[in-house]
Amino acid sequence: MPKEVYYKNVNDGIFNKAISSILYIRRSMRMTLEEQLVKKSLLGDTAAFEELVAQYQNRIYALAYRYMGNEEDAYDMTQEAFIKAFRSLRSFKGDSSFGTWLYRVATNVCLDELRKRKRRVLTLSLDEPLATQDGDEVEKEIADTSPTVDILYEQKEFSLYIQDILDEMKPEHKSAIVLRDLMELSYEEIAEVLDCSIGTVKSRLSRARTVLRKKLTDRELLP
Amino acid sequence: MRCEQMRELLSPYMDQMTSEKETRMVEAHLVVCPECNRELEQLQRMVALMGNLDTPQLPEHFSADFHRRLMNEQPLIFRNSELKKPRKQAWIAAGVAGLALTVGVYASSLLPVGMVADLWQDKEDKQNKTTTVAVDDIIQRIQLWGHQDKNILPAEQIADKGTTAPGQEKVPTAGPASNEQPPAEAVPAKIQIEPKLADVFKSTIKVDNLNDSVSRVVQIAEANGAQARVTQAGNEVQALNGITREVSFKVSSEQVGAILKQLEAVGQAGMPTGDQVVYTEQYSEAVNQIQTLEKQICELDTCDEQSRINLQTELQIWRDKKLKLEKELQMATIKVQLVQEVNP
Repeated sequence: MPKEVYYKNVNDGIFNKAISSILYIRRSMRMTLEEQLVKKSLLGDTAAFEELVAQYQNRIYALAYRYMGNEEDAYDMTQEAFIKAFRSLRSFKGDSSFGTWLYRVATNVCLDELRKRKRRVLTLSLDEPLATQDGDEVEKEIADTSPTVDILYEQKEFSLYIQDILDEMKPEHKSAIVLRDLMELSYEEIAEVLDCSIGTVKSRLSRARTVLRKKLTDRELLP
Repeated sequence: MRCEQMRELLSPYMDQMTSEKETRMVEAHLVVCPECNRELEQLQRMVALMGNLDTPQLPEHFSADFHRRLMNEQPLIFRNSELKKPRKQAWIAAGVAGLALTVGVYASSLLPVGMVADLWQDKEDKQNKTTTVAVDDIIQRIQLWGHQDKNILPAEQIADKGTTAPGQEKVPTAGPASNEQPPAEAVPAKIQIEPKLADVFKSTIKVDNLNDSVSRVVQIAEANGAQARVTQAGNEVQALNGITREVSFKVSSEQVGAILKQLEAVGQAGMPTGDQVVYTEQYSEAVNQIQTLEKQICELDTCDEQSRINLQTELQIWRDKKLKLEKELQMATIKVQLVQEVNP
């Protein structure tokens, strides 16, 4: 395409966008509440930031829980993630949604922590009862292949089994499953969170699901 | 299609993320292959199960805990919620902002005021640090610039205190240095103004010849009555693949639209992004200082000529400062990053 024509087409579009850019920057009424809160937070308004936290804390906690595998760690990581987000707020360029950016910060915080711990050997006593969220305790079952799995479809226990399996998975598979099947993000959002292409998301997720499926069927948790 | 090829595609197919071609292939295969159908069903069941999982509830004390942690972060002097406590806050604010303003006065004797803000902006961009009011940055600058004009007495005191006592909330000595009155004297309630921000527009343009393009942008700047500054900006990702220069200049806000259009003729321009330079604290302090000084002048003994002269000199300084800020606020900074790609 001749240069002049290319520039003309591109420039008209860009010029219009530049004008909208200017209007956006002039904080017109079109700015959403969330954008306002982000801008205020950038100016040092901690109350505004805490409002943002309130809107996202449950989701980030759920995310952290699936990464870390237990509530205590999830709690700590959730705090860490929001503090880190506050400190690095300037690096949020607005090219993704704020929520997606938060997921990215939280994912990195959790995966970094997991990496740190990987070296340490975690020995869990098999005789120790496993606490469920009710505070009730159930005996921890070693997965065996005999078909005694009738209770397993109770959601709470199933959640714990899934969590055990997730904890066995590699970080890249784990993130794919957590972000897609548990947090229900779109492929585009996952690509932004993991800073990769959509093609990579497709193949990672496919492989992760295959791994997960095999583990579930090995433990006879999936009919 | 063979079953092995299907394996990778079942997952995106289920999420409706396969291309048209892939979709047709998958569906054609599913018609004839019961194995793969079973696999797909199992996959769907698994994902459905995952979607139904409960997650534990976030404990209620999270907000309180987080609030405490957030407050322990580097103190932000101008939190909106805390301006309800005028006394202590105002003193610290007055001291710190007086510091900032005096730095500005120093700067204006050497550099254009805007360059202070520019330097600050660059520093923020490069470091991606905490979003604090730039108290520490300003204190570091004082240390860098060393001892300048010693004639302005209150400012010297601030400078000394500034280098020894960084602007933490807990340090009271930094407070009263901005004027010679003891803290017991009433400080008028701090005037609260809305944020004063000057716009900064950033545009990244890919060009074929860096030097030519730099000259063109400089010409555009000068044609619009601005003086351009050319630096090597190294903080953008594009710098990895090519060589870059950043040309920045200030124009009045109305000129921005036309200039951005002119810039697009220089090369392949990306969409401009916006930012702000925050002048709020400086402006707010100028306003407050002017009010304080005017009041002091009124309260003076009529025969106290010396004090009157001193105060009026100071008042004029602050008034000038305010005018300068107002001019700055009407200006917009345009930063053009030119990238010449080495590997097209």
